[in-house]
Amino acid sequence: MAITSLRATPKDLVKNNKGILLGSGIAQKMSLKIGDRIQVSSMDGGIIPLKIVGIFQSGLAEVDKVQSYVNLKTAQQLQGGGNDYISDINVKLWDMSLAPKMAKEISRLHKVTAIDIKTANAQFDTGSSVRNLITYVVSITLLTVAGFGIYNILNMLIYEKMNDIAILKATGFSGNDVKLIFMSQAILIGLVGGILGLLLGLTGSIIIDNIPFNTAGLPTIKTYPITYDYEYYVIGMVFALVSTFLAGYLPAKKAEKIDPVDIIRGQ
Amino acid sequence: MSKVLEAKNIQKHFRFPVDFHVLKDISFSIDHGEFVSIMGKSGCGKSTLLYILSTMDTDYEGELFLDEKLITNNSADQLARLRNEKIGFVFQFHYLLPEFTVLDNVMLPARKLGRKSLDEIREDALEKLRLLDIHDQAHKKATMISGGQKQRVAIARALINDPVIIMGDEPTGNLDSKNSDTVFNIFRDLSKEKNFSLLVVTHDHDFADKTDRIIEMGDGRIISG
Repeated sequence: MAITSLRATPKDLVKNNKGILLGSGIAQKMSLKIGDRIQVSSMDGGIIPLKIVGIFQSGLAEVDKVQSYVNLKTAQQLQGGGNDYISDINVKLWDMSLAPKMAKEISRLHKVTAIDIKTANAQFDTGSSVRNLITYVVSITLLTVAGFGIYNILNMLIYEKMNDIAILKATGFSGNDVKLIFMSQAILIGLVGGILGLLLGLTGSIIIDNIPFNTAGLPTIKTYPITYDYEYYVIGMVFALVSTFLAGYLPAKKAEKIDPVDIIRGQ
Repeated sequence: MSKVLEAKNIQKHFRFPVDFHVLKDISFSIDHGEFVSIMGKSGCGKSTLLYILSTMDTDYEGELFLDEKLITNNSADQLARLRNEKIGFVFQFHYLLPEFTVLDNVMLPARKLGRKSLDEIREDALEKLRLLDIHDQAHKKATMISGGQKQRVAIARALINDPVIIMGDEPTGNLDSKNSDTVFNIFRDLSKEKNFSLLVVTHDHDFADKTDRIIEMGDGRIISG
């Protein structure tokens, strides 16, 4: 569990053998502050005096109420085990997706039980993947609707520009040239719309990022949690371009096929 | 005298809704520098013939030569290129692009052809506009000038690539008599002084009478000329 804030670093523990990093929840409950001394009873009935060298807040109130950190030696004393007694080791990775593979590897090499984060948080994982699915389904639905809007606009535009298309073809522009004109228009709509949309989204994110959001379970979060990960902006841009390309392709194809004779004679 | 345009045994059917033989065995040619008009009653097939000659309609039988080269069965892209390079069009309506200035409209076919630099094209376009005496309108939007002026701009656009032939489909059909005369005189000058070849479909007897040759059509055939 990441120790995120509040006057505590693991280094404080290194400096003091008999130190303890106390969770902020329990510290508050017992009115303790840094420098106070507490006594902790171990499994075998002994009492170990410890000095509070830091108070940490993980961000999850539930954790801060029940979790504290001490040096390995102290922990082994508290548990009544020997120097080689370790109940479990948490390994933190830069890339979480490597966890399942690594768990298997560790399990095989050291003949221990290794549980990766995905398995440990299976329930949470399912929840978030369903949430992700819903997000994408909604996004794709919106893009489809917007795509049809662009398709309609370009379709109408082609009817409106029938005469212009006819004269372009009569004066020597090929069907392909005409198609390119309308495709470039569609792509332009996608590009400008995409950039404006991203800017609007960013502005919205910044505003939401500043809206207060208070919940007892997550004491460190004061405003709505927002990610500014560039990945989502790239996805947004790609979606915008792809949907306008598809929406523009059919009308452009139609413009390519227009027979100038039909238009000019029809007048 | 070289032939700029020659039609050999052109046949054309409208297949929808019922089979209708519009053009029956049309053969004729136009010499370089000639000013020819095609006359005939509505429905005799003269416009249909013009669109075949203009390469825009490729659904016909027979052979068509432009500038002494057979162009029947050329691909659509080749024909587009030919139209751009060798044929100038003037229609009943001007078909100027409303978003563009007069000058840009005239420059457009030359920019498509891409044989000259933009500056040269601009010079050419201004020269054509001067020829038609509307260079003072060059920087106005195409929608901001009068009907007669629009038709003159359309003629300037037809001339921009120095085509081997200029084709007109009722070019004066939508103009009053004064503007019609102006347009006729422009055509006359183009033919006499600049040695352009012209082929004009018209209803207007006065107009046709003043051309070098009248091809008269009736019921899908050439009656005289």
